Amino acid sequence: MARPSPSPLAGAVALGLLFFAGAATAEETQCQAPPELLASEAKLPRLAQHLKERKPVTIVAIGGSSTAGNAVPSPAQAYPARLEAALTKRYPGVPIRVLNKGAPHEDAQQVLARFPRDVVAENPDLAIWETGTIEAVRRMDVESFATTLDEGLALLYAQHIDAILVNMQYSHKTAAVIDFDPYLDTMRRVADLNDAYLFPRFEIMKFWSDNGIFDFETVPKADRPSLATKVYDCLARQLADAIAEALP
Amino acid sequence: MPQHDVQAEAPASKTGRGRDLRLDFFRGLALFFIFIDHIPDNTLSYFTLTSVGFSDAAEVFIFISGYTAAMVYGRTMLRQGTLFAAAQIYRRVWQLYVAHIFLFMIFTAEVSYTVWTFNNPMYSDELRVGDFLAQPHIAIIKALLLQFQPTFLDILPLYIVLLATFPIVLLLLRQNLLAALLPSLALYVAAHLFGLALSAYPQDHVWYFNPLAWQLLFALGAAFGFARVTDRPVLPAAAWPMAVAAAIVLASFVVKLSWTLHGLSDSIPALFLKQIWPINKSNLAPVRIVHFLALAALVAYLVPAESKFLRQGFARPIILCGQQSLQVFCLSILLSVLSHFVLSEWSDGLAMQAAVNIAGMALMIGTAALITWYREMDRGPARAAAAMASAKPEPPPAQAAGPLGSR
Repeated sequence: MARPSPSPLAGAVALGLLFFAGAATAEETQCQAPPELLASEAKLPRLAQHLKERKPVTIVAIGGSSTAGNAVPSPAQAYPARLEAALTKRYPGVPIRVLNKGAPHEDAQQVLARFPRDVVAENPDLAIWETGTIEAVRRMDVESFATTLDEGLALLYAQHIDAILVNMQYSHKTAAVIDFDPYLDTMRRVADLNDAYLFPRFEIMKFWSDNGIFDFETVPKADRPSLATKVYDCLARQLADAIAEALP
Repeated sequence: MPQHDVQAEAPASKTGRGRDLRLDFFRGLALFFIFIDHIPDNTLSYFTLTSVGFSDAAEVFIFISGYTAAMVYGRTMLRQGTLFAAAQIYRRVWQLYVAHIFLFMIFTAEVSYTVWTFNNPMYSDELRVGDFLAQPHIAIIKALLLQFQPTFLDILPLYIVLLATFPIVLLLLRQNLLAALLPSLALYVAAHLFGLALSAYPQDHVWYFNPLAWQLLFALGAAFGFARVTDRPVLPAAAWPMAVAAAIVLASFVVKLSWTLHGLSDSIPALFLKQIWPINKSNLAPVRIVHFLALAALVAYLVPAESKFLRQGFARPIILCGQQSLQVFCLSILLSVLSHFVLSEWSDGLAMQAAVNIAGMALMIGTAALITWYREMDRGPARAAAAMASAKPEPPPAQAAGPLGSR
C-alpha cells in the first residue's frame, strides 16, 4: 500500500510558511506543517470538558525512546514536557500535567502490558500512545499489531480515557532500511475504525525533511542533542495544535 | 547460475507438447507486481492486484511455481523415476539457496552501513534494525539456516522449503490427487487451529510466510499441473463454477478498491473494513485463497492458451521474465531495495518514481533476455543467433487446453 506523496499544495504551503518565518519570534523554530495533515474528525470529549470546566487535566504520554527523550539532555526537553508547556500556554488558568511514561525498545504488546499501572492508575483525561517503531524494525506480524492497538484503545475507552495514537519518526536513512508502510497503514486503519485521533508524526517529519525545514541526516554529532530538542519542541507544538483542533 | 537446460521451465521442444504461455505471462506479470509492491510508498502500486483483490502477486507466484514444478518434475518422475526427479529438484533448491544468501549479503551491507554511519540517538529505537550486528556470529549462522529473514528476503526461504519437500508431494500426486491434497489441507487447517509456525531469529519470531500454511497453495498448483501432465481433468466443465468465481472476484474488487480509495480520501467509505480487515498474509488467510482460486479459474477460462495477445510484441518481455523467473525474481527483490533507497535518499516525487519503476522493469526484462540468449547459446550458436535476430515466441501449440483451460 502506498500513501499519496506530498502534494504540490503542501509545497506551496511550505513556501508560504518559510516566507512568514522571518516575522516570527526569534527563539521558536518555525516548523509548521500543512494543516491538512492535522485535520481529523476524531474528537477528545473528556479532555474538552475538563478544559472547558477548567478542571485540572492529566495527560499520559506512553511509548518508546522518542517519548522518553533519550536523545535530549534532560526529560524537560522531551516531547511530553514540551507538550505540557505548549498546552499551558494555550489554556492559561487550567492546571495541566503531562506524565512521561516512555521506555526504550518495547513493542506495542509490552507497552500495552504497562497500561494498567502507567496509564489507568493515573486516571488521565487523555493518553497519547506513540508506537509502531519496534514493530516495523522487527517486522512483527501486522495483524497482531492491529489487535494490540485495538485492545489498547478498548481498554482506554472502557475507562473513558481519550486517546491519541502517534506514529513513527521519519528520516531518509531509517526509511531506506526499514519498511514502515504496512505499520503506518495499520495504525491509520485502526485509528479510523476506532474513531481515535492519529497524530501523523511520520508525515510531518517527512514534510520537514522534504522541505528543508530540518535535516535529520547530516547533523554533526555535537549538534544532535540540540536538533532533537528543537524537533521534540516542534512536534509538541504541532500536537498541541492537533489537540486544540480535536476539541469539539 | 548454471546455463544448462536444467530449468523448471523446460522448453516445449523437449517435451513434445505446446508450452502454455499463459503460465509465463502471468508469472512474469506477478514478478513485475512484486517489484512494484515492494517499493514502499510507490504510487504505481495502486495499479497492481493488491489494490483490487484480497490476494496479491505472492499467491500468483507461488501457485504458478507449484503448477510448473509439477509439470516439469512430474514428467521427469514418470519417465526417469522419482530419484531422478528428486535430484533435479534439489539442484534447483541449491540455486535458490545460493541466491538467497547473495541477497542477504547485499541487505546486510546496506543496513550495517546505514547503522554505523547514521547512528543518531534520536532514532535509537529505529537503529535496532542493526541489532543483529551486535552478534554477527549468531546472525550469520541463522541466515544460513534460513531462520534470519530481513525485510523482503522472506519469499525465497518459503520457496526453498516448498521445493525441498516437493518430492513427497509428487509421490503422493502419483497415487492420486486427493492423496496429496488432503494431507496438505490438513496441515493448513492445523497451522491455523493450533497456531503452528516455523521459528525464526531473533527469538520469538516466526517465518513471515508460514510454509505450513502456504504449502496448500503450492500443492493446489501442483495438483493442477500434474493433472495436466497426466491428462486427467480436474475441474467439471459446468458453467456455474465460473459464475461463482466471477461473483467472488467482482465482490473482492469492489470491497478492496473501496479500501484503497478510502486510504486516499475519507469521504469514500471502506466497505466491510471492520468485518474483514486485517487479513492475515503470513498464514494465508482463507479469504486470500478463495479470492486467488476464483481469480485463477476466471482468468484461465477467459484467457485461452491460444490467445493471440500472448504472441504479440508487448507480451513478449513479460513472458521472457516469467520464463526466467528465478533470476528475475531475485533481481526484482534487489531492485526494490535499491529503488526504496533511491526514493528515500534523493526524491520520491512522481517523476523519480516513474524513472525508478521504468528502470527497474527494463532491467528485469533485459536480464531475462540476456539469460535466454545465454541458454540458446549453450544449445548452439545458430539458435542463439536466431533468438537474437527474431526474439519471437515459439509457434502456437497444437493442443494446449489444460485442466484450467478446458472450456
